[in-house]
Amino acid sequence: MRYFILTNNPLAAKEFGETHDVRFINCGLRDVLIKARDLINDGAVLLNHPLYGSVKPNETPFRSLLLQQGIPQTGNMPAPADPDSVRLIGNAVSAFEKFIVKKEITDPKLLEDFQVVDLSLLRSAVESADR
Amino acid sequence: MAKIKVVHYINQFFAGIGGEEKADIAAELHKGEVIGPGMAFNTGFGEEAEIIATIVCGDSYFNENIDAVKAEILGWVRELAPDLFIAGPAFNAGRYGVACGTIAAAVKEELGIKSITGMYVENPGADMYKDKVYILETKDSAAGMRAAVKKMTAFALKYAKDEKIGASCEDGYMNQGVRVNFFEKERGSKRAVDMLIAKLAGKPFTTEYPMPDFDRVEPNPAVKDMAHATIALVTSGGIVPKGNPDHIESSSASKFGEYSIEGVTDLDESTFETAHGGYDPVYANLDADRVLPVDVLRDLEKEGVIGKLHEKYYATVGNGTAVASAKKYGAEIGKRLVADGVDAVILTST
Amino acid sequence: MRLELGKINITDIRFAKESKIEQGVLYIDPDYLKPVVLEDEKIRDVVFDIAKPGESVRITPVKDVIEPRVKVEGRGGVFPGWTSKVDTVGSGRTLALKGMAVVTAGKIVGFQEGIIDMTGTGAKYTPFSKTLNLCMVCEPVEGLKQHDYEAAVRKAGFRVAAKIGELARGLEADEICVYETCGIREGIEKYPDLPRVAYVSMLQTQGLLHDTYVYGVDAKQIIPTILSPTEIMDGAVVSGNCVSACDKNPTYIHQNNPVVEDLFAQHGKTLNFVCQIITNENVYLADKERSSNMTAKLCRMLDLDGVVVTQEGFGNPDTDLIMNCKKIEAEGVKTVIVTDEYAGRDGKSQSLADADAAADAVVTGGNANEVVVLPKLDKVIGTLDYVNRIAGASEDTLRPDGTLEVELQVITGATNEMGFGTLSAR
Repeated sequence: MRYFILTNNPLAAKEFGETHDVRFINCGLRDVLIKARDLINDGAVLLNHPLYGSVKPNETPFRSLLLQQGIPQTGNMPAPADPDSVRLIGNAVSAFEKFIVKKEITDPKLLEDFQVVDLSLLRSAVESADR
Repeated sequence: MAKIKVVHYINQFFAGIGGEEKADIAAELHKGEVIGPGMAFNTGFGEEAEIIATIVCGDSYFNENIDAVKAEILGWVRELAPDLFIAGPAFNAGRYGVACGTIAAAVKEELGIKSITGMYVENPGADMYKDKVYILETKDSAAGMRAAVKKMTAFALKYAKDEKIGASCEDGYMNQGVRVNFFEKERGSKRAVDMLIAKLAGKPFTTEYPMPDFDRVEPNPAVKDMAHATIALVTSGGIVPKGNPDHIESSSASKFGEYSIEGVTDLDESTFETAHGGYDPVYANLDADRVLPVDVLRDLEKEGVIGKLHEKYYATVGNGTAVASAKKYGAEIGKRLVADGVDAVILTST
Repeated sequence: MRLELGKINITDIRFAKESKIEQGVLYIDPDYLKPVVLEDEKIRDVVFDIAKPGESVRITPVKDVIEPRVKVEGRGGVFPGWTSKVDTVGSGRTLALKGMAVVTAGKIVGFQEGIIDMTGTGAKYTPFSKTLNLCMVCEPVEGLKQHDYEAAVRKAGFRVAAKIGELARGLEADEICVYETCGIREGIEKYPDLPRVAYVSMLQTQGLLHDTYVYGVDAKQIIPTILSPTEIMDGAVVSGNCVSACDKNPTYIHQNNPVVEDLFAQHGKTLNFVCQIITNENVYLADKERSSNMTAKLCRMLDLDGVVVTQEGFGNPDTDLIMNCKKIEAEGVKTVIVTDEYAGRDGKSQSLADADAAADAVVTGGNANEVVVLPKLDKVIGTLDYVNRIAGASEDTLRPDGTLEVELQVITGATNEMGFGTLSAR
């Protein structure tokens, strides 16, 4: 299946950069969700869930999403948005907004821990996608 | 400790003045008097609290002169400076319930005085005010007075004494849409098993978390013949003629506007703008077609893809506008579109 | 399948020269347990400590909580796939040490959470303030990666619990409970008029710090399947989940699954408890679809009338929960779902990240965003170094007077989604 990885996690970009279509964006977690939302509105289909299972969205600064490119229709019309993807990304943005965002994390060890966990969840999704 | 001072609000019926024929009596302040259900409250309060004044108002009078009477009563209450305000209970009396909710909420919000009321869950006042003020749930008729007073008295004392108010189901008030934690008697798994047994037996059960009200609308079947269809534009993106003639608010809009686009092929900076306060207006103000796509619809009209673009469009501001208001505007707009023979509508947001 | 669970009530834990259980007292020689932990070369050192109900002690960050058990009759041994081979467990006789737990603690990642307070406000919310806790804080060898550290501590916990359980072998149980389920035909013949009910247990399976294992298999790789509910009593399902303290299911809660217990209490009376169905909560959306389809299909094929569905975690698993509920209901099988809420500190936000009208029977473990203030306690087992970074905490969590202002999220087991506690919300 053809898909790409949208991520702000440098560790994920490093791990999958050679083998996968990685679109790295240097931004905060909310902006990753918003960017994904824009892509989804233009027809991209979300392949993994935009929220973690328990690390709260205000805690970790990193997120990696698997998206399948929408296929444009004739006449340059963008692909129709996938309703499930729209709902999931919308709920994720709301979920993000209801948590109090903490101060920026600067401790490099902690940042690495968050990157490792994000990478682990991403790897789990990639394994499913590449089966 | 000093007694908790309470002001009580009741209608003409519970004051013993009369029924519907007396519903137009103006508001009266009875200082130092305890009237009707107030007696039972006072007994319930014991040594802890007392009613220092009773305000009586006819239900019709209240609802027909709402702003004036509200101001008058608030003036009295401000002067009396009680620790607590009690309105009702109103049971299932609709106008009385609305009056109780209105005045109890106003006392709380505008005077910062603790305030409660009581009524039946289906009283229209309940839905209107349950998120603004504590409304104790009562039976649907005055036959439930004893139980209502008992419940309201206990709650009133707890509230006035700044004791912790528990979850709605513990303390008998209507859920305010705010989730409050508390400890149940049984653990969750037992409650789940009991709930399942009830559900399987077709017996009533109460979910602990009602799902949000979705109000999903099934889409209409597709328009078959677009080439002869009249298409209208409706937006919650706040596009209005320059100067916002109807003064549609930038958030929590209280109205929608109906505007002509007869002969307009393109919205531009000099003629249209957005009233919306919830997004960066720069791009919408530069070219309002970005929100209300008149230009492309004119193209489609010319190309014969659509029959014609309806000559009027409707706009409101979706920013923080209550769902109830949006529903009301939608129904009205729909009615007018149908009357004008419009076949389909394109709804644009922001 | 029939399992006799013998309960041995532990009334005290003391360090001693000789390890044994005598008149309800567990005597532990740390040197009896230490080699069990250090047999894994990834662990450099371990420190044992004891925390008792009512003491001014805080344990943090908690990884897992485990009840020591030993299998004395029947196939297999406890924690199959870990401390025993993978024989099918859940029949015969097992002894459990009641009133105590093994608590693994220690920092695996910098934001790991989990607080057990033995006294004060926090103690009201965690079930593990009521158990005598033998705590083990493991130190990794230098440079050990997060994955390896997590696995090492997880497995060490099972080894220690099994080792302590061995001390009960040969002891007389204080009380014996018998749990028995029937085969499909047997059940229909025996209870022709009772509704057929199963328990759908959703397991957290997302990746590092979010995993659950079944007979040693990473549950993200399973397709939903059925278990006899007695299997989990022998540790067939164990936790590798270190985050989301309030609503993760530690191994202890799998062993003592409250839904299983309460369904057994009604078995043969108001319902026929058919089996436990386990399913996962994967990150990949197609996996979610497949697993919920399979779960709904199992419900249909087992001719069930109703199920209780429990969740683990928040956010992403809300989608699995709603998919399961919707699809099972669509098969004509009635559901009650057990979850918890993240309604914001003010209780005003949408509680779940997903919702559907089919979910008309919900039991909630409460709002995990509620703020509580935990007192300063005299002793900390583990470390408070990271307390400002855990979920439900903020920069201001550790206040100058030593108290902690936190959301319930940080407290182990506070809003458990198997219904282990009494906390709820309206």
